[in-house]
Amino acid sequence: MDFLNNIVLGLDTAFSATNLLYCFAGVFLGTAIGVLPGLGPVPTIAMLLPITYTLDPVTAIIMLAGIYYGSQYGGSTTAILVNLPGESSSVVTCLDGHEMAKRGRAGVALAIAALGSFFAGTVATLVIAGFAPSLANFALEFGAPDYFSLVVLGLVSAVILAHGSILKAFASMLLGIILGLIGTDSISGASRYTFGVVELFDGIEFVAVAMGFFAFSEIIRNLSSPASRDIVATKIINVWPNLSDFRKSWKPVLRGTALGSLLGVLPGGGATLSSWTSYALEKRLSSHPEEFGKGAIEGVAGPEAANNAGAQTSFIPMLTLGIPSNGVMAMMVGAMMIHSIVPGPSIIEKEPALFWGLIVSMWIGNLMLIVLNMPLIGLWVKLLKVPYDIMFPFIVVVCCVGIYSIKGGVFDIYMAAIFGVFGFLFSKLECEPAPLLLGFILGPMMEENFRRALLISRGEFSIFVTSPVSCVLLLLAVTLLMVVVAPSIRRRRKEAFAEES
Amino acid sequence: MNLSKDVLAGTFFLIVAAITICGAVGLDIGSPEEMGPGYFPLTVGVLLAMIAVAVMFKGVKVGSAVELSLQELRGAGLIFAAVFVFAWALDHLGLPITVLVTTFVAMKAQSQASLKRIASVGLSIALFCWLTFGFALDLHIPLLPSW
Repeated sequence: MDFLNNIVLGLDTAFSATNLLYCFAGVFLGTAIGVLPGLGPVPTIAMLLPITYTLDPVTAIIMLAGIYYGSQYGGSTTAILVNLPGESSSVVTCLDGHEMAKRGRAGVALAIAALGSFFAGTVATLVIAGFAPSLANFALEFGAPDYFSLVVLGLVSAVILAHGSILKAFASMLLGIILGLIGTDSISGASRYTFGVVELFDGIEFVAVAMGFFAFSEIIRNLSSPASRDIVATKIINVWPNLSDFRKSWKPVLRGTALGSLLGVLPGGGATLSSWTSYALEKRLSSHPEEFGKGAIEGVAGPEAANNAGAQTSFIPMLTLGIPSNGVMAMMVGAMMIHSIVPGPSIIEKEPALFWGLIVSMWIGNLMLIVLNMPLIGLWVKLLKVPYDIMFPFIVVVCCVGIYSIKGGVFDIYMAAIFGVFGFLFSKLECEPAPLLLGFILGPMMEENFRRALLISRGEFSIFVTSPVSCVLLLLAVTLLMVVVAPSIRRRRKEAFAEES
Repeated sequence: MNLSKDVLAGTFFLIVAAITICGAVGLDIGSPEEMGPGYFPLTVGVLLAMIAVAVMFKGVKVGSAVELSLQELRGAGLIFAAVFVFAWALDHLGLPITVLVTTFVAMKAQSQASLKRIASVGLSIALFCWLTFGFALDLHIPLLPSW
């Protein structure tokens, strides 16, 4: 009956008028920003984060989750209508979704995406509710060496799954750890890398890093690539899929949901990995693979379900272990820390209302996505037509106001501008910023557990292999690295990503 | 000039690694059993230096050149200028005027914007910010100019 009690607590929290309102606002605003071409979930969350500062922590997290789903779905809408993916998981949707739109079936593609996502979201929510508490219980037993190895595994996965050069992804991750070092050392009290700047004693503000590397550099990238905006369907007439569409889609949706739920939990996994895997699977299983890329509805239904399921279940390691598995979850951890909530194994016991409320809100958020998107597609299409020269100064200003309002000072805006320059440099040099964000979030945790583990073992490094959990995690990390660095598989990986870009 | 992306990236990371190592050496390193504040930074710095060299080495062997157009550089420069202007002006000019100035600088990043359009967009955004952030959300942002 524990499970039922928890769900009741969750319903109680989520159905309060304020939380419902902010969940709705989150989904709405998330979709509104997410439909803008080139803006994926990470910059969207970074941009909208300031709205949540003044809210109660539970409400804030519920709203942020809503923003996340909204931006994810908004990205799919843009992918289908304009063939401009906001982020890599929507690239898959472009392949067949945009082809469908060209054939006058934009409405059907959008509807199947929404319905598939809703189904996947519902299942994934149940997976979280069932799975997260036991994982958290297991993790409660973790000692310092186990945590250190868990962080290593998380970082290694993030590096491996980044696009392009693994070496540069590694360097980017280490740079993130170094940025996380700046400030006062929590154990000795010595100030590190502050160069005498008083504002740096508390460390670098997470939002400044996220805005600089994601929002600002994204704006510049969009400025320099004049977006050809041939919106295919100005009027979407037929929204409802017919019976044959449903018959073709239900199996891909089921498979996508299962795949996504599984892959989302893995470190480094999440929406992008899920949707790509699902697309490849559907193409292989299809009796008419030649139709893929030419408007096959299975190619929209499967990946859309998978990316939503993956987006959902990637909350599991973030909430229960405190280890974000991708850039978006790193944003969520950063956001939670601003509200002084530290995700980790004890969060379910310490903040049951937050945890279960969030889970029920995930489902409500998915429901709102359908309610919002089916009738409001016309509005999103209009938003897509707003000229970019109006949009980008607006985004710049909103970001600046957001950074200012964290501490009520302009120092962090200067920092964000500097990180923006680095972000621009990164995109020119083809370095991925996502591992950097993860390194920044996980670095302090890594150092703390590293120091504690070696204090316990009296300086013996063998503690990382004599503790069974730590040993397994480290072995996993090493295996992952070996697999990717091995030449034959590296070639295949290259092929897989070549399709993407 | 043709500069390989990897050589440049490697150089950048090597500089960061050097700064990190120099900073760590100035701190107490300690021993594995009782680490000082410098131990972990030193480890990370050395690791980054090794990877940076590997990236550079790869770039020398096979490298693709950095593509950078003048227009792109101008766009990037003006966006960052806009953010710096915002940060500097906010405490002196208050939100609405700051927004107006920021919009002006940012919109110059797209060369075709006419003055009339810049003015109308700037005024709308300034009004929006004043109403939303100043009143509705009440984020405690200076609204009026003060020196």
